[in-house]
Amino acid sequence: MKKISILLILIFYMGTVIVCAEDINFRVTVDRNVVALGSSVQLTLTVEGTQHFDPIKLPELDGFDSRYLGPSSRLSIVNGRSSASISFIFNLYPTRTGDLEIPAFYIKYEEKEYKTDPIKIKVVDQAGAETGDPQGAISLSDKIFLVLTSSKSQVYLGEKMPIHIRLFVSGLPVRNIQYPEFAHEGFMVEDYLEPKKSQRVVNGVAYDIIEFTTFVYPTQTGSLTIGPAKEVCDILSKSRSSRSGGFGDIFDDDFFAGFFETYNTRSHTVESNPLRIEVIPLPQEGRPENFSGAVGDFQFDLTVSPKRIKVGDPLTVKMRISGQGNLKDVIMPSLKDQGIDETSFKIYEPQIKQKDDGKELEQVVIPRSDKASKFPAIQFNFFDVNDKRYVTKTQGPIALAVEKLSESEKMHVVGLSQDSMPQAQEQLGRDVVFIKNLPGKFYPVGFALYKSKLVLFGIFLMVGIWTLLFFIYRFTHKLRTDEKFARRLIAPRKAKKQLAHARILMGQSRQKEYYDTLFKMLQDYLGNKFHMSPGSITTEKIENFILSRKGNPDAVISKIREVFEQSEMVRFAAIDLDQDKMQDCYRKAQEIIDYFERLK
Amino acid sequence: MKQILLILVILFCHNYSLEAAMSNEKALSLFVEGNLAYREGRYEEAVAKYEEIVSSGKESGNLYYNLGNGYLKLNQVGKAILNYERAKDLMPRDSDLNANYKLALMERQGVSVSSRRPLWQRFIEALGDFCTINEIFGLALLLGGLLALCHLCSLYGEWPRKIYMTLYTIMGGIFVLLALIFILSLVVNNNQAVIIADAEAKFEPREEATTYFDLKQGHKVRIIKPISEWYKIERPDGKKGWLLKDKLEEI
Repeated sequence: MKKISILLILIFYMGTVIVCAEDINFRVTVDRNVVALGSSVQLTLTVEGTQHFDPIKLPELDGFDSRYLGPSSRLSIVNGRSSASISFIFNLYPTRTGDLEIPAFYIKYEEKEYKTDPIKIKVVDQAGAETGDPQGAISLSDKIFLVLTSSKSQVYLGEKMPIHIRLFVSGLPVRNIQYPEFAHEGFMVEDYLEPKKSQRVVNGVAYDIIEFTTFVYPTQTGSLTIGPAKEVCDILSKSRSSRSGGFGDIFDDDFFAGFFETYNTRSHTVESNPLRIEVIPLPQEGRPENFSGAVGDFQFDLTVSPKRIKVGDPLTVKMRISGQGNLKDVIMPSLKDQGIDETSFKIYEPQIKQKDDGKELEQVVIPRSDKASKFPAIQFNFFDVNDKRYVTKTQGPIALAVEKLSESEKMHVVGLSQDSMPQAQEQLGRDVVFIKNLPGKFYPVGFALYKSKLVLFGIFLMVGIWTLLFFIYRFTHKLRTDEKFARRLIAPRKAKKQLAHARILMGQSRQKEYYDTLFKMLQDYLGNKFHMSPGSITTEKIENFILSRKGNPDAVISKIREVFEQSEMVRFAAIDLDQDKMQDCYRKAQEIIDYFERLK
Repeated sequence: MKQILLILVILFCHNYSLEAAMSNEKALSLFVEGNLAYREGRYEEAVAKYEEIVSSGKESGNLYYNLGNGYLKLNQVGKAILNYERAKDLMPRDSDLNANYKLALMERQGVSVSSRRPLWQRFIEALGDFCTINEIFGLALLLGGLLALCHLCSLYGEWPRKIYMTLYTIMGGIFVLLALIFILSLVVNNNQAVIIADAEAKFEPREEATTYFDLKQGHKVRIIKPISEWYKIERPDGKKGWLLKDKLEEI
């Protein structure tokens, strides 16, 4: 807190120092120049630059009685800049009619004397004032008016000419100030600059001034008129609201007057004086051939970069024209018009930019051969209004170092090859592609391969063949690899063959061969069937094997025994048996085989 | 007996092929007449000729293509897309067909709803742009036959185990994949339909029922089930509603 206080004091002290360092200015103003006899004029004596000044005592004034109202001091800090002033306000009451004068006042400050100008006051009698302002005969045009001025009354065709339009306002609350408009036939007008505000005392009356500045360029010769300028703004005026009722008397009192004041806005148009301008043509004498109409005082710059390049590489040429004059109308020098050899340089279209402080041109140039050793000089002509003569500014020539291209680079030169130029994108139409001439293969509606009976039959056939072949393979494979299976499989076939042979032998009554065949058949069959060696077949072995099976093994065993015994009797004992015995033995052998074939 | 049977079979086959040949000639004649009408700008007549072939029980990719063109020229986008879809089932790789199909889709009105179909379904649909279901089936069949042949050869030729196992794995894998694609294609393409006239899908199969959503001609839907004059349909985004049967046509 202490630190902040010190800081504030320091700032105040510095402000005071700044105030003290300001220049002193002494001025006197009145609130009106015309006053009715019996009314008053407010006289304000202001000392600017300080607030430490003793009250000024007004001397005796001829034709006026004076009354001191009091001092008024002001301190303002705007954007870090402070200003201070002190005013001493008096009311002056004229004592007679006619043209009176408030004399000049003198003050002394720090051993230096300051003086004001005298002010003329016109005093009219009361009757004359009744038709105008009740406070005095002041019209609105004295309080607000517009002045159109220019620093030149005679200009050359195309010469830049400033136009100032100043709005003077004294003691009026003015709002919503628009940019002024003015007639400008025969002139080209630029946009307004930012308006400036200032204050000025005119014949003792202080005015707030808003200054609008623009530039015009005459486009035709002769005696031309600019204006009058017109300015539209709103003026605020006080109006006291009417009241009725028993409280009227109370509120008519001055104390309450301030509470009931309201403001009305009314639009007001102020018109200035017109301005006559004499526009003279540019002289023919000394006029250059390629003069393009630039009037003023200009600077011309030219740059080319880079200065060391290869054939086909782009050079950037930059031109800049700046200065005072009709910049917008200035035509930039054209490279083609300046006589640049287009066999040495390929010139592209320039890009021109208009800036506030000048005009710039940027252009790409490509050297076509290594013989283009310099960029030629460029000239710019204008009419100098100050010297009243034509001036030619020349820049260049600029030396260049253009190198040849190597063979491999020649095909890639940008801008020189037609193929490398961007092609415009082709716009293609869009519509239905034309119909087919032939229908192709017709199918039944809804045809599908997987629904076709033929295809399904083919699939089943294919699967069937595959299954068949697969099982054939399995069977043959088992035959080849499983001896037991193979012997069991061939046993009945072999037995049938041997039985058929035995039957033949029986028919021929060849008893011994018959029983040999029958014995061997049964031995082979049983050996194959039970996967045993035929020589090792005995009735006991067969019994053991058969007893483990279902059926009626006893009958079969007895048949086997009978067949074997009968065969052995004939084979080894040479006993003759009759045909019935042979038939019986054959039948039993058949029954034995049938039994075993049925047995699984 | 065998000789009589053989004669009967030959006679049947001969009669059948004779009938088929005549029918094809008539269809070809109608096709050419349709083309002539189309060339001369008589699109309605061309469409009628093509439709006559279809109603006689014949179809081909080019026929559906020309029919789609005719409908597109008559600004019947729904029927054009329907016929292009049918043509795509028969010749999906035809560039003219694909160009016109895209053009028809561009001229289709209404908002395209975002699809909520699973990835496998989108894959099968994308595959449908490259090959027909018959081609997939034929390829699977061919591969199955080769697989069986290879199996038998390995048995009878007694190939080394390494060789036939490698062949079984590769061919068997492709066969299973093709069979799966074929089955899924049948599932995806089943009951697909195209809206042929602008319609309103209702909450119930009644004219006065509340409208659920609008369907513009040319948009595809799936038929879920029929009830008298109505179909229950499903949009690609899964929304279901009831639609009059005459507003759509099965692909």
